[in-house]
Amino acid sequence: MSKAGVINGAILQFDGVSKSFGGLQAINHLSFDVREGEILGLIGPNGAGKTTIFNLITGVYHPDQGKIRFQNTEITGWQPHRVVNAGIARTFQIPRPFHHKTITKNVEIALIPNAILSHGLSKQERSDTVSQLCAKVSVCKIFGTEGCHLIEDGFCDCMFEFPSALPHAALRNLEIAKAMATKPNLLLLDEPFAGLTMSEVDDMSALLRTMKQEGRTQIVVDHNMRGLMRLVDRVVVINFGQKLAEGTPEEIAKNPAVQEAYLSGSSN
Amino acid sequence: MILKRARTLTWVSAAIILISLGFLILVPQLFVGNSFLISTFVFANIYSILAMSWDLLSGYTGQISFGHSFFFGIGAYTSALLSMHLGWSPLYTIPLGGVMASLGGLLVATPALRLRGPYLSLITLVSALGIDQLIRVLKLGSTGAEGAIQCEIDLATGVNHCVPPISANEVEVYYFALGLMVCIAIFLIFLVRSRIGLAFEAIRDDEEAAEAAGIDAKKYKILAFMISGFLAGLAGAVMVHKMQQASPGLVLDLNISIEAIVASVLGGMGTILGPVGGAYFYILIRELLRPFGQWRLFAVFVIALLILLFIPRGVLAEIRLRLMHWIKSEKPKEPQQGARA
Amino acid sequence: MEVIAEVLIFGFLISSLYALVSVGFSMIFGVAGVLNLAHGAMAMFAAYIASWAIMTFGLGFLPASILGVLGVALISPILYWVIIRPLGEKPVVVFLATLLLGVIFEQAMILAFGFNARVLPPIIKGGFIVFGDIRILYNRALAGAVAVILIGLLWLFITRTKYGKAIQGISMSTKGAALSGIPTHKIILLVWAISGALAAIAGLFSASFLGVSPLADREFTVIAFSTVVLGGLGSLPGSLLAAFIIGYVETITVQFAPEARGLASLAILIVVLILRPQGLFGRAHE
Repeated sequence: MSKAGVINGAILQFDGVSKSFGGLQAINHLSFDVREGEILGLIGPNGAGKTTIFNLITGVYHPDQGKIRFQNTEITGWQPHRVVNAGIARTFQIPRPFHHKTITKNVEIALIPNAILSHGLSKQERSDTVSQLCAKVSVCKIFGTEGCHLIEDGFCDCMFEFPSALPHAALRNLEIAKAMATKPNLLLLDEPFAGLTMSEVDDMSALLRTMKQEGRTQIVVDHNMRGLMRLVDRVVVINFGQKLAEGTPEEIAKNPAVQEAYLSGSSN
Repeated sequence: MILKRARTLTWVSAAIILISLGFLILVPQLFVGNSFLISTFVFANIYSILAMSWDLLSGYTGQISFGHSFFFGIGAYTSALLSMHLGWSPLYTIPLGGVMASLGGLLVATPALRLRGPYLSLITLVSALGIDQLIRVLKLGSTGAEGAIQCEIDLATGVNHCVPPISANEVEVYYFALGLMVCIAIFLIFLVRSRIGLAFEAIRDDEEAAEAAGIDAKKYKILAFMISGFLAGLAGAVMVHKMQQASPGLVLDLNISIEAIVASVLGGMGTILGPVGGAYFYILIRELLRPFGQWRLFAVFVIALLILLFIPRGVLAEIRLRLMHWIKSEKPKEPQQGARA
Repeated sequence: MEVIAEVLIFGFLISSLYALVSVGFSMIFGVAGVLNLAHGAMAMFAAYIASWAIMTFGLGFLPASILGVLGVALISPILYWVIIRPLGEKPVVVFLATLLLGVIFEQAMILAFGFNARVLPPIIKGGFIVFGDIRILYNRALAGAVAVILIGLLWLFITRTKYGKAIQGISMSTKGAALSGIPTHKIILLVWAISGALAAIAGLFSASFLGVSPLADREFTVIAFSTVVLGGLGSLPGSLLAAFIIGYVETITVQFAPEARGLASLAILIVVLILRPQGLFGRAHE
């Protein structure tokens, strides 16, 4: 998936970004790079500004200062949908399915093109893509033959089932299916392990690794340090909106500044 | 099993729709010479168009409009003025009325894009109240007081100029209104099932999540405003040629917006055909139960409130949901209502 | 000079009545998250109760008005209890339900009292306060004074008393307030009662100047809705300021361009919402 023109292997550059809300400096002159093909862990105590970083990258907030570049294109100040269509997708900390639409439609929504008169994918292509994605995130496993049915290996159709029927872990998977439907090169995962059991964490990690093998770069924010540290290639530690440390999981685990921040800050 | 039941259901609903349509086609034959009744059915068709238009913007896209009379009135005045003063046929001026109302939709959508929820609803309300005032103040192209368009007698020739009717033949007017309503209903059913409709619903359910799924919410909202405006404008234009006069009280009153909402609530928001049923129900009660005076409206509004209380999805949507569960052969489970529902 | 004084005085009198209506609307939004489109109906309903009491029992304006205010203070929380609360956290459904409640009240008033407008007798008959060439009816002056006093009392109530602080707490976070032991539900009922009573008083005075008709609630609701949005949803000072802005703008247009009376305040509203979508005192989305 290597894109031409990506310098130093950095797919995303967060360059001297600041953002404040009222008097609160949420992000303070923060810089870091995300390398092509890696899974980057973004950790820090509660309120360190991790979700704000996601909101800045995806255009929900606009930085007060600094630049954000994606595949060498500056995306600072872009509207969220434009960022998504440039190849950055996200999941939300608390899953946000479209409650009134079936699971199939939930995923299909992410396939809608913005050119109102263009056709985009054909109906068949759309429904194939959706059912492949549903199968990939194992939504069908939950239902057996009712509502969602496995058409064949690798295809799963959920045209009669609503998100409210899904247990928590499957809602997180649905979020990922929605994000994947936008064909992202970079995936931002906001606490993908929150509320999952140990075995579900393992399943989720396996899914994220598979996506990494397919060439999707990922940034993962999570409090579950054990799950996260086994998954990620590199870690950036944020505290009070600034970068505290950066390195491999092993380096970070040994870093005294990080230990200090975590011991004095939150109990994670 | 699932697909078989789904198919049966499609056939049954198609049959119900065709039977109702057959009845509507036969109305002039069934009630020959009863011009009051035929007029009532014309109004029912006009209100159906209006209610569907509200449903597209508010029921489907979640942009709650309290000012659909804005579009209705723009359509009505445009068509009335063009046909009366330029002598164009209503068949041309009615679509032009729709186009003007659609531009009105663009005008309202522009500030509305930055506004959500109640702020947006207020803008729609204010637009409707504003244009009502504006037409009264400007006395727009009218002879009547306060911006009313009435018949004018040309003193030189003694000819009486009125807003022309669509046709002198009442039955033709009826078929025109019915035909237009059916075409619009078909168009909207295709629209809401297309990816455009899906984008509308995504925006209604969770605008931020829709943006995160790559949907350009602004663009789709403008589109919803323009289509909805166009359709409500058509309804207003047909209305003005049916009544052969226009005044702020007739085509811009807040009641029109309220009636569109009531019709949609009665039949079920977010269903397109529900509002048609609701509009027919409302107009037939309003017109045929006149002997009951104000009680009839009181009763309709109370019924609408009860529906909101006990079947908040609306009658048609509730039936649809229950049938869907029947298709799955499961006990009905409440789909969880999102915080923004 | 006199024109300016006239605008200042009459603008103040009308604005203070608007403020009475808006403050209640704003409080209901604050604690219950409901934009109560039946708010204007409360103002109208009080005037009809008073009118009915005067006609039927020959009560004076004051006892009849007290009856009107009490009646509304009772019915307003009942509406919340029976209709709004069961609808739960569905803003759109609640919004539409209050709209329907409003039109149901209109129809009920038409059924009970007919279409024609009724005028309530003034609480103080005749007599003027004279400022140079400007004469203010006692009744009008009284309305202004009552409104100012009530808003002052409300302010003290909210900032100084236990209940008032509970109201502030609930406005900030219903869940947080409930967790810290505030009887949320009772307080919300109290707010509906107070808001209804304030609207009722405004409605009674307005009916004694201009009369009341079954559709009179719409003007009250539109004013309340506009001022509260203009001021910024959830901000009481914002609502008050906005009530005075709209009141003065109307007074000025009536003075200089009576034809555009309704237009000017609508135009201001649109301009403010375009420039500052969250209203004057509202918190921004970000």
